[in-house]
Parts: sequence; C-alpha cells; structure tokens
Amino acid sequence: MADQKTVLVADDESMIRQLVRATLRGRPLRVLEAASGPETLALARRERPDLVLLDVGLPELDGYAVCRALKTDPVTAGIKVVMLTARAQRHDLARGAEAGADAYVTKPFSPERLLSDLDGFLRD
Amino acid sequence: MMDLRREERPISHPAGAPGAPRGGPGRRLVRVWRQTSLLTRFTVIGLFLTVMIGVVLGMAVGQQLEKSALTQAAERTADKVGFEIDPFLRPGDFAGVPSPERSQAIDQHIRESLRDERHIVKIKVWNPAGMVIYSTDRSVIGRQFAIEDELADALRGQIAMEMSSLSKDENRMDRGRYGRLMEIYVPIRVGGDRVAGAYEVYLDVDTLTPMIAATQRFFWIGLALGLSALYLGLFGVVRSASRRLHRQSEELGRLEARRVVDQLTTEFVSIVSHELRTPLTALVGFSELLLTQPANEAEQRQWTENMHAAATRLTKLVEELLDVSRIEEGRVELKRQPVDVKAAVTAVLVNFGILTPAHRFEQRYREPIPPLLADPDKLTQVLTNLISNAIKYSPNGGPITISVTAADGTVRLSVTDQGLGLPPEELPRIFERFHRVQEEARRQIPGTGLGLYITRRLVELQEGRIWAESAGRGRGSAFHVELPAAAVERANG
Repeated sequence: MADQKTVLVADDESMIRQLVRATLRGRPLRVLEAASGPETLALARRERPDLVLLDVGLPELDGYAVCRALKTDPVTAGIKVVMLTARAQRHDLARGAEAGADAYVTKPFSPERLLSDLDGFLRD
Repeated sequence: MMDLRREERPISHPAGAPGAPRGGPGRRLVRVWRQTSLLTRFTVIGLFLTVMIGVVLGMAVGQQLEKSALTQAAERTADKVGFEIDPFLRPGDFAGVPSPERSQAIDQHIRESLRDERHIVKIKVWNPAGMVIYSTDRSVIGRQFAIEDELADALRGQIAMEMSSLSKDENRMDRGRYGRLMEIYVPIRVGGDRVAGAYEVYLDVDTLTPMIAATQRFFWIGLALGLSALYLGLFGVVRSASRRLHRQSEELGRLEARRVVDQLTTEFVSIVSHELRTPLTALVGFSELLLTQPANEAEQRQWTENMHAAATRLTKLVEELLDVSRIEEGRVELKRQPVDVKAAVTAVLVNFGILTPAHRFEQRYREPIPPLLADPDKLTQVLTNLISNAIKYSPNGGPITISVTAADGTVRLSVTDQGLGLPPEELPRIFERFHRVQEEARRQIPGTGLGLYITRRLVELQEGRIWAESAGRGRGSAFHVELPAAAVERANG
C-alpha cells in the first residue's frame, strides 16, 4: 500500500468524475473527487495527491487559479497538475502554462489515452 | 424543455404595465429636456441669453445715449444763449432789477433771439447775489433765492445742468405744463472774462425726445442686427459640432453594439462548448469503456445509463438552441386558440409521473376557470419547463403544486415547489439568457441558462407575463404565468 498513488479528480460534472473513476478502476490508485475550486485546494492540501486532474471551468475558483495556488504553496507545489479542458486554443494553453500546469487533456477524451497519459505522469 | 432557477420580479409586459415611467409635468419636462440634442439646447438657451444680453445692453446704452443727447442739447443751447444775449447785456443790468424800460428791452431781445429755439421754455437771468433780475416768468423777477450748487458753478464760470425739480417753489408755474424739464446754468460774461451773472435756461425734454428716440432706434436696430449675426454665427458652429458629435456618438454606439455582440458570442461559445463537450465526453468515454473494458453487469448498466443521460442532455441542448434561434429571429409560429387548462396540465403531468417517483404532484383549480387563449404546443412547452425546473431544483423530492386561478380576464398558472429556493438578488436575473444561479447546491444540476429565457419569451409572445417568488434559499419557489382568457379576448376583438 505504501506505493499506492493518489489521483484527485476535480470537475463540477459528476458524469466526468464517474468516467475518470471508471477509467482508472483497474489501476491500484486511490481516487479522490472534488467539485469546486476551494474543495480541490482543501483536499489537495490535506491528502497530498500525486496528481490532480483539474477541470478548467471549476466553479467559485477556476482551474487556472487553483493550479496557481497549488504551485505556489510549498506544501502542494510538487503535485503534478493535468488540466482537463474543453478549451484547447493557444491562449488557453498559454494561461495554463503560466499557472504552472504540467500537461493538458482535452474534452472529449479517450479513456484509453487518458490512462496511458496518467500512467506516464505517475511514473515520472 | 427545462431548466434553471427561480424568480420573482414580475416581467411586466402587457400594456399598462405597472413599471411604466411616472412623474408630473415638471419631471416630464426635465426628461424631455435631457433627451434634446445639443443643437436644440443651444437654440433655446442661446436665444434666451442673446435676448437678455440685448435687453440689458440696450437699456444701459439707451440711458447713456439719452444722457449724451441731452448734454449735447445743453451745450448747444448754452452757446446759443451766450452768443445771442451776452453782447446785449451791460454790467449795470446785474446790480438789481433793471428799470422797466431796460427790462422790456432785454425781454424783447431775448424773445427775438430765441424765437426759433422751441425746446427752450423759460429763461432766467441771475445776478451773483442770487436774485432773478430777469425771467420770461415775470412772477419771479426781483425775487431772491438761495444759491444752489448748479447756480454757484455757473457764477464761478462753469456750465452746469440738472433735471429740474418741479416741486421747487421757483418752478411752481411749470407744474402740469411740462413732463420733464432740464435746467442749464450758463455763466454770463460782460465786457471781458469776469462773470457778471448766470442764465438759467429750461429745456423741455419731451421736445428733444424725437431726436433721442431716433438715435436710440438706430442703436437698437444696430444692436439687434449685431446680436442676430453673432447668434447665427454661433448657431452654425454649434450645429456643425452637434452633427460631428452625433456622428461620433453613432460610431461609438456601433462599436458598443459590436462589443456586446462579441461578448455575447464569447459567452455563448463558452457555455455551448461546455454543454456540448461534457455530454460528448461522457458518450465517447463510456462507449469506449463498454467496447474495450471487461465490466460486470452493474457497471455496464451504469455506463449505459450515463450515455443515455448524456444523449438526452445533448438533444435538449439542440432543442433549446433551435428555440432561441427561432425566438430571436421572430420565426415562432403561434396558433392561438381556446385551450382547456385542466386538460393541458393533466397531459403534461402524465409524462412526469413515471420519470420522477420522488415527487408528488398536486393540482388545485379555483373554479370557474375559462379557457386560455394560447398556442397549445407552446403552453405545453411552458408548463413542461416550469414543472421540469421544479423537479430539478427539488433534489430531495417533495410536493409540487400546480394551481390555476382566473381573474379580470386572465388565467394564472402557478408552479410551486419546496426545493432549493432562490436568494432575493437572483430573482431579477433568472429569466435572462444564459444566466445560471451559482451556488453549491445547484452545482450538480446541469443546465444551459436558456430554459427560463425561452419560457419567458414564449409567454410574452402570447401577451402574457411571468414572474417568480421565493422566500429564500432552501424555502422553495413559485413561478407564475398569466395569460389572457379566451372569452375576454373574443369580447375585445
């Protein structure tokens, strides 16, 4: 159990959280869920996940702000952040990079592809 | 159809709505004035100021002109009197009242000399002691009077003048004969520079008036022409500036309209993109899982249900977008006819009963209820949307009441729930396009922010109004729709 990694899925759509959970169900991962910006930050600080799959359009505090907060807090700066976004335009990617995101996954996504990407990030 | 949050501000709309602007004539005038153009304001204010300036300037200069004209008349008279009479007088004439023969000679000379000076009505000759030694008014000859300032000035060698006071004793004979008299005091020099006495000449100001009036008329015409030219010149400048401002304002208006359109487009793209991609992600994701992953029966069922929900959500989004498009382009076709409200409500509820076992529907009718005048399909859409909202925003179930009442030629349908309720600050906004209430309890409830907007527009198109009420968060909501009764419509039409 010591090697079990933790992934925090942050998306306000329960259907998307369910999809990610179903996608990851074959992996020895602990999956946490959050539905808002503040909830994501609180959970990340408390549980120190290895990776946050972070929706850009989170309510109350959007994904960019959450990412910036995670990356500037020494306690959470080491957590990998993968932005989950419906927007894949250049300025959106630039905003994510500026906020310190490690990677992007664009909606809609293929579960198989997501799995292989996450495996890569969690191995690094 | 369905969606969103709850309400309260009456979206007034039939004629005579209570929100119509009010105000007395004063306020109306102020409102009209605020709406006038720069040019109109200049026309009114500029004209008023020009006239005021003209009147004030004209009166001030007019007085000055009269004074100047009178001074000129006085100086001319002084010259005439001195030139004609001085040579005739002798130093001895000023010792006292001259002998009757001398007095008669003086009188004759003066009257002949001044025969043509019609504005001279009286003349006195004073000696330095303040005695009248000659006057055309014989009653004052030989009388002694106190030496007043003007007479004293003349006896010192200076010409002086004043408007005559007809109340003075020496002028008592003139009262009633003349309107205004001017007195001119002229030093008399006999045989050298020494002042031997003084004339006091009375001018009838009224006989000088035509001359003064002519001068003033000339001045007034000049003033009016000058101010008119100034006003017209400024009018041209202001009109040109006003037109330029108007053009700039229109340009700014176009830019602002474009900005609003851009903003709405961005908002629209953002919302639609999110609303499209979320169900698409679910469809793509769960279908791929079903195709590629081993799963037990429960998982398969759950994933399939998720796909169905996503497809339903997509269908609804497409329907709503088409509705908005039709409404905004004015392409909604209405077939209004008398509709039995009870039958319409019952038909809508039949569809919901199966889908939502957690909610209990109650129908309340306060008879008599006349038929509604409405398009049956659009009425169904409105009712479906409101009931669907009541279900969506009552996640814990509970009673949903549909009540119908009639009054004053209208029929009111109310859908009341005991769900999440609405904070007061949201009530004015919930019928706006794309508006969604942002709060924790609603986060899991999908929606585009279009349902209530469509509902409102459909109600308004049918000459009705819609509004919402709520006692606050967690205390349920009530949506009310008022539509005309069919019987009243027929009576009016």
